[in-house]
Amino acid sequence: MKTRIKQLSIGLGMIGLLTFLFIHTNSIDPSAHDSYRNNLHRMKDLDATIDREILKSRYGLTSNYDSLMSDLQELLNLRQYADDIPYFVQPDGRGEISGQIENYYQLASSKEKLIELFKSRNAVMNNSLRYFPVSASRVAAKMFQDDGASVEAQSLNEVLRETLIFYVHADQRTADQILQRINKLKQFEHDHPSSANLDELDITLRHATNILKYKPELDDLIEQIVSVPTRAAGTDLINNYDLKYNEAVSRANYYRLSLYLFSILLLVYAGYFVVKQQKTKGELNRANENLEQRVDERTAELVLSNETLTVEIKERKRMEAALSGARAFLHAVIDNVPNLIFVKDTEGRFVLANQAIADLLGTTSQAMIGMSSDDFGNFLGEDGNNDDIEILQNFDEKFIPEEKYTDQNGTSRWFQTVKRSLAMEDQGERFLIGVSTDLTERKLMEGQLRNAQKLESIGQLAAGIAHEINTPTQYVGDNTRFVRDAFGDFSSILGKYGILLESARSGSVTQTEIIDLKGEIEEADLEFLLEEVPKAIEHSLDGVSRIAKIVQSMKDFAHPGSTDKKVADLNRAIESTVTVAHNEWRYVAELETHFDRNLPLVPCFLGEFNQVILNMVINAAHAISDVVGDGSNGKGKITISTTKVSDLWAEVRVGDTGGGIPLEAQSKIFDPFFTTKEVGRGTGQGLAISHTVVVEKHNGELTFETTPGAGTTFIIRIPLARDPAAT
Amino acid sequence: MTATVLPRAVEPAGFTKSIREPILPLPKTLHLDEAKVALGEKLFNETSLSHNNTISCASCHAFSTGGTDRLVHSKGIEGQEGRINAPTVFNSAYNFKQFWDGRADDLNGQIDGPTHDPVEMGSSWEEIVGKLNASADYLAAFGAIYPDGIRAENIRDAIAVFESSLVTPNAKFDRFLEGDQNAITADELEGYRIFKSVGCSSCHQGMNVGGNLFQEFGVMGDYFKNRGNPTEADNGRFNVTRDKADMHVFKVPSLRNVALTSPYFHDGSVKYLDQAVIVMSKYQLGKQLSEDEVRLVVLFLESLTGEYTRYGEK
Repeated sequence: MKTRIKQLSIGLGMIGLLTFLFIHTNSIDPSAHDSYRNNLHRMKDLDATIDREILKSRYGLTSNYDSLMSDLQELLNLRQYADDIPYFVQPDGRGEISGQIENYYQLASSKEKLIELFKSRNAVMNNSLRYFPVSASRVAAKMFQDDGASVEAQSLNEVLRETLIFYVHADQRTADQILQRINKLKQFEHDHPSSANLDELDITLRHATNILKYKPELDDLIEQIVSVPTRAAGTDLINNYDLKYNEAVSRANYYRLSLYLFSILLLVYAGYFVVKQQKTKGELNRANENLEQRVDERTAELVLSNETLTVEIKERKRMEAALSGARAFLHAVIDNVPNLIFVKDTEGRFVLANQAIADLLGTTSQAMIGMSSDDFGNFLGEDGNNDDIEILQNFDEKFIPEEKYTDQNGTSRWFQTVKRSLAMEDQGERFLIGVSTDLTERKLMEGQLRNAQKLESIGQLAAGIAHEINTPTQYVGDNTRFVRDAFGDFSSILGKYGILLESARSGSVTQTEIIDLKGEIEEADLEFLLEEVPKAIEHSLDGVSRIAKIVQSMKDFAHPGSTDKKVADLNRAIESTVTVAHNEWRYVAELETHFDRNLPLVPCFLGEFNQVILNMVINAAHAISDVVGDGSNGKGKITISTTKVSDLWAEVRVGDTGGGIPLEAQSKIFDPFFTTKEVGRGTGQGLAISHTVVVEKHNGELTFETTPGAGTTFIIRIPLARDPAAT
Repeated sequence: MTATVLPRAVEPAGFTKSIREPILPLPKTLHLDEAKVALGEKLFNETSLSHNNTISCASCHAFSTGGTDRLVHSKGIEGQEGRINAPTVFNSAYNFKQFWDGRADDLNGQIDGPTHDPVEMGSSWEEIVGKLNASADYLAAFGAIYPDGIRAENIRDAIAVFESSLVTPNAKFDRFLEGDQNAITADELEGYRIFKSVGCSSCHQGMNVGGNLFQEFGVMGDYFKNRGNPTEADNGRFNVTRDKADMHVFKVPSLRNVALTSPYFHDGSVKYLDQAVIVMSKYQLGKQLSEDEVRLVVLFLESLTGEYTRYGEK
C-alpha cells in the first residue's frame, strides 16, 4: 500500500513536472510579442516623424499642424498598449520596462510641451516674418515721404535687411546692432509724436522684435525638441524589451532543454525498467512455467469440474425432464380422473382444471385457466351463490352432497362437490380446490338397486303370494269339480224327467217310470245338490275374487313407477301392499289399518312409496317375529295409520310390537348396508332406500319412535303440495 | 476602453505638391458605433444629467445655433451665469484639446467639466448614474451595449462617440479645396488669400481651421489691458499649468461654422464677425486691415459653414 502511494506520488510528480516544463516551453506567445514590439517601433517611428514634422513646420514645408498633432496624439495614445507588457517577461523585467515606459512618456510629455510652445511661437514667427518686410518697407517709404525722416527710413530698411540676415543666420552681434537701431527708431517715435506713421512703425518694430526674440527661441526649441532623448529612450526600451524577450526565449529554451533532458531521463528510466524486466525475465519464465503448470492443473481441475458440471447438467436436465414428465404425468392423472377437479385463486380465476370438467363445460382445460365460474353461467358447487371467498378466508370446507347440473347438451346430470381451501406456504397464496363427483351413474344404479330390491321383495313375497293364491285356487277347483259331478246327477234326473214327460203327454205313465225317477232322485240326493251347488258356486266366485284381489295388489305393488310424481290414494296403496305382504306377517302378527278417509290424494312416486311401506311392514313383521318366534304362542300386532296432520303433510305411521331399536343402532339404521338381521334375511338396503325415497325424492321426513322392548313406530311424512323446490 | 480613432487629415487629390494649403477639408464619412451614437444623442439631450433636471448638453450646445447657445456666458442650473463663452460642439472631436484652456485631452475627458461644474449642470456621477438607473429605457439601452450597464465611463463613452459624429463637412470652402473651383466666389477666394497673407492661417490652419495649438491672446498688443475687467478665465492655460508663460494663452478655436457661433472669443466680448476679425488682426497679427479686407475675410469665413447630418442619415 505504501509502495503504491509512493509510486502514485512519483507518477503525479513526474506529470506535474512535465506539465510545468511544457507550459514554460510554450510560454512565449509570438503574436503578443509581435504586436508589442510593433507598438514599440511605432512609438519610435512616430517620434522620428514628429521631429520631421516640426522641422517641416519650421521651414514652411507644411502650413498646418494636423499631421504633427495626429502623430503626437497617436504617440501619446500608444502608452496604453506599451503599458501592456507581455506576460512572458519576468516580473523584474516588467518593472524595468515599466520604468522605461514611464521615463519615455515623461520625455514625451516634456516634448509635447515644447511642441506646444513651438507651435505658438512658430505661428507668431511666421506671421511676423511674413508681415515685417511688407510693413517695414511701407513704413520706411511713408516716413521718408511724410516726415522727411530719410535717416530713420534708411535705418528701418537696415533693420529689415539685418533682421532678414539675422533670421537666416542668427548671431548676437547682428541682434545687438538691430536692437540699437530699433531703440533709435523708438527715439524717433518719441521725438515725433505727431507723425501719422507712429502706430504702423510701432507695430513694424514689434514684428522685428518678435523675429529677434523668437528666431533664437525657435531654434532653441527645435534644438530642445530634437534633443529630448525620446529616441534614445525608445531605442533603450526596444533593446531592453528585446533583451527580456530573448531571456524569455532562452528561458523557454532552457525549459525545453529540461523537458528533453527529463524526457531522456524518463526514457532511460524506462529503459532501465526494460533491462530490469529482461533480467527478471528468467525468473518470470520460471514463474511463468510454474504458472503454466498451475494453469494446467487448474485447467485439469476445470475440465474435471466441467465434466462434473456436464454430469450435473445432464442430471439436472434429466431431473427437469423427470419433473416435466412428472408434471405431465400429474396432469395426465388429473385429466384421467373421472371426477371434476378445479382449482381457483383468491380472485376466483381457474388456475387448474382437468379434462373432465372441461368436457362438461364444453371447453378445454387450457382455455379455462384465467376464467372464472361466472364465465360459464351456472357452475358446480355454488347453489346459486358463490361462497368461495368465505371458504378461502375461513379455511372452510363445503360439501354439496348432490346437485343437478344440466350440461351443454341439455342432459341433466348429478354431482356431488367438495370445496376446500388450500394454502401453499411456499407460494404464499391460497387456492380453492374443488372436486365434483358425477353421481349420475350412481343415481342410475341406485334406481336399479331400488328396483332390484323391489324385485327381491317380490321374490320374497312370491312364495307367500303363491300360497295366498293356491288356497282359493284349491277350493275353487274342488267346488267346480263338485258342481261338475252335481251337473252329471242333474243330467240323469233330467233324463228320467224327460221320459216321464213323454209318457205323461201320451198318457201312458208307468209306475216303473215313476219308480225309476224316484230311484234316480234318491240316488243323486237331489235335495243336497240343490242346497250345496249354489254354495259351491258362491265359494268359487269368492275364491276367484280373492285371487283377483291378490293379483291386483301385486300389480299395484309391482307398479314400475314413473319419473314424475302422480297423485295417488295412499290408503289404497297401503292396503295393496299389506295384502301383497300378507304371507309375511300373517303367521306372527295381526295387522290393523286405520285409514284417514279424508286423506287427500298425495303427489308421489307410487311404486317407490309402496316399496317403503312394504319395507316398513316386513321390518315390523321381522321385529315382531324376533319377539314372538313362529307365532304359535301368540302373535304381535302391526298397526298402520294414515293421517292428514296439517294442510301440508300426510303422515303414515307403521307401528310394531317388536323389540325396539337398540340405542347404539339408532343412529345407523338409515345407513346403507346396515343391518342387524342374519345373513340372507335382508340386504340392509331397506331403510336406506326408504330414507332416500322419502327424504330426497319426496322432500318428506322419515323418523322413528322406539321404545326398547315395546316396539317401534316409523313415521313417514309426505308433503301434500307439489313442492316447487322438488326437482 | 479604446479611444475613438478619428480620421487623419488627408490632402485632397486636387492639391498640387508645390502649393500646400494650410486648410484641409473635413472627412465626409465616419465609422462609429451606431448604438453608441444613438444612446449618446439621447444622453446629450438628457436633462437628468443636471442636478435639477433642467439642463442638458444640448441646452448650451444647440445644433440650430451652430452648436452653441449664442450667449456671452452660458446659463447653468437655477439661472447661474457661466464664466466663459461656450465653444461649439461641432467638429470638437478634431480639437487637439478641449475647453478654451485645453484642460481636457479629448471629448471623453471634457464631460466631467460641464456636468460637475456647480454653475453649469451641478451634478455628480453618483447622481446621474442613480437617475439613469431608474429608467427602464436607459437600463435596456446601456445593457445592450455595455456589459457592466450604466456607469460613468460608459456614459462618457456614449456621449463622446455621439459628439464625434457632430461633424459638418461639405462647406463651400471644403468643396473648393476638393477641386470644385466654382464652389466659392471670387470675393470669398480673395478673402482666403488675405486670410493667408496677413497671417491668420499661421494659427487657424488644418482640418479644423484652428483647434490644434495654443496661442497667447494679445501677441501684438495687450488685449486684456485695453478691454479691462480681468477675470480668472482670462488667465487661460495658466489656470491649468500655473506656468507664467501660459498666462493669457488659449486654445486657438476652430473657425469652422464661425459665422454661426457669435459671440466670439472666450469672453464673448464681440458680437459680430467683422469686429472679431479686426480684434484678431490687431492683437494677434499687429495689422490694421482695411474695411474691404475685413469684408472679404468675413466672406471667406462664412464659406466655412458646413452641413450637419445626423449620423447614419443621408
